[in-house]
Amino acid sequence: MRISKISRNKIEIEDGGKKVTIEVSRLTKHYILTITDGENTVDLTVKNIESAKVINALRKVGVSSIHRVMSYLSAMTAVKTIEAPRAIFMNVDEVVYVPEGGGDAKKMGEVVETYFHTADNEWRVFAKNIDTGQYELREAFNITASMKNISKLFLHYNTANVDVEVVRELYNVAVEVKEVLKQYIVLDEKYYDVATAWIIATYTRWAAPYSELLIIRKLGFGSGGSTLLKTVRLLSARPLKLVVNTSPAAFYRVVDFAMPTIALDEIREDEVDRSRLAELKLLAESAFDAENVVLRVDQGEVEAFSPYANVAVVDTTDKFTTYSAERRAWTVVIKQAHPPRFYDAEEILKSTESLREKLYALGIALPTMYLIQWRTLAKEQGLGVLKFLEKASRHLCGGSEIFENALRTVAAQLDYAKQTALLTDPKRLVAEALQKILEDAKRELEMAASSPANAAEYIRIAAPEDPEYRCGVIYLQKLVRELRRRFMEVVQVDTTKLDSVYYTSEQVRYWFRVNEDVEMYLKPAKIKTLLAEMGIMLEADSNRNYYVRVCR
Amino acid sequence: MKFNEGIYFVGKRCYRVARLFDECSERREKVAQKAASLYRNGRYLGGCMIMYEVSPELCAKLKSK
Repeated sequence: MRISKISRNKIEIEDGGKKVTIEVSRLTKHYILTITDGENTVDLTVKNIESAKVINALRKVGVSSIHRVMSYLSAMTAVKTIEAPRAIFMNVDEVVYVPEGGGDAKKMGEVVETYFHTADNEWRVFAKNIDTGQYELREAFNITASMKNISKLFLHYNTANVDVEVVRELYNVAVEVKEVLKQYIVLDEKYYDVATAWIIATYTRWAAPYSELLIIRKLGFGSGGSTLLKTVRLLSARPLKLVVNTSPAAFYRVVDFAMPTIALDEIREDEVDRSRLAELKLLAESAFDAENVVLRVDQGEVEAFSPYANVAVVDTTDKFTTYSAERRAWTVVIKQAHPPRFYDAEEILKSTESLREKLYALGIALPTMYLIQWRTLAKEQGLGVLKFLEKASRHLCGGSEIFENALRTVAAQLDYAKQTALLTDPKRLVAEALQKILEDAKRELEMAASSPANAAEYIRIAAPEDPEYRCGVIYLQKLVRELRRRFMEVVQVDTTKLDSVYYTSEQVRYWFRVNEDVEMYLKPAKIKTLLAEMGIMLEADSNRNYYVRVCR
Repeated sequence: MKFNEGIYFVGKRCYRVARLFDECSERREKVAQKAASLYRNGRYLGGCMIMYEVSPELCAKLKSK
């Protein structure tokens, strides 16, 4: 028996004067085999080449060495399948040209392919065709996803179609999203723009290094915070259904693969189970950066999951105040609506179907088609993605008012946070107090030197080392005491509210206590490290007492 | 993208672009198209030029030839 390869997908078998040709082609998940022996033709559709159906067909046409033919066929159809790292991922490969026979390698450009997983568990790739230079959408067969129950997990998921022209609709889409928001919630005009920009950004964030949280702030309960949160979630990319009592490994697997939008409503410490609370806090703290990973043991193996996700939080209880003060979050302040607006998930989902398709398409097309601009702008934490959307909208659609307003508002928020950072930075306060004590000690030495007769009156902090009062030492114990003294504050108590007979005569009593914010820094070990950070080293005398040396 | 005869690297993959005939005719074009279809990831580029994937070993050989 002789087997010869006629073309890439066709072999010819000569077996005892008989000629059989077999052609294999692939159609979606199936192989189509055409076996011809000169007289008859058999067509087979199979999922696996190594199946009884194929073997029987080969036997019927009189092929003797089934093993050899099967190995040929499976080699022809072998396509390497790749397990996808995420629901959307980008492959960027440089095209380098080397003239045959040697010569300098020359970079010719880049091949950018964006693979994405769709709601019907298929994979597609949006990429530039090297020959034509046009972007096109293809099906990708050699990729497998680690998740199946998409419709059970998400309220909606990546759509299958990406049209190149969708990028021209960026601004129209933004206007439409804003209109939907206006129907269901009451906000200041600028916050509509921030929420709209955040929603659109969720679709592109899979390609960005940072994902800023959306923090919804309100003055009290019942102001419509949850309505805003739910509406934002419904409009954002891959919204995860509410997670109830999930195991951390399962939760992180979903987040890791799909990079969903997660809405956290009022984390109340007294109501949420402690371990789950820790999980949620960890998520909110780590979801903003694509490089963070969470390690979990899964069936005896350590696995790393990326908690990178779009997170929106309602924060009345001020659990996330510190995040809103950093570059990690955009903030929206909600107003009470009169009469209250009602949230209707079904109606929103129904009316925004085509809008969502455009949003998903935009999320894939924008970073792929404008990769260079995307990379330069999106790497800035806080404003990067917003800057990109504003520029893209201005250049592609001729208008970008919503993004401009959002950019202005968020930039002002982050700027204010930067200016007022000292308020939330107790360590800085302690460092400044330390600096002041050292300066005071120097001033005391100077005053003592200028009038040595009254030196004892001036010197309080540092013990002088020489008769000219050039240098002095502050013992660590004294330094700690002095620091504590400076952070003393008066606390007032209304004794009539106390349940004790001793306090009946006076209504108000006072006592002193150290400011609670800085107390953790007022310990010798912490002060030692603080001093080291300021470039001041502790020294020890012969009795092993530590001191700081100051010279005027 | 315009291709010249030589080796193209796309990430780790290696492709060879070859001109099968110096002077191209309609008949020769058909031959080139057929030839392209026989190679792994083969593609006809027009003008009797074809592009196909080659193994990393062969690629290294062609580069230093």
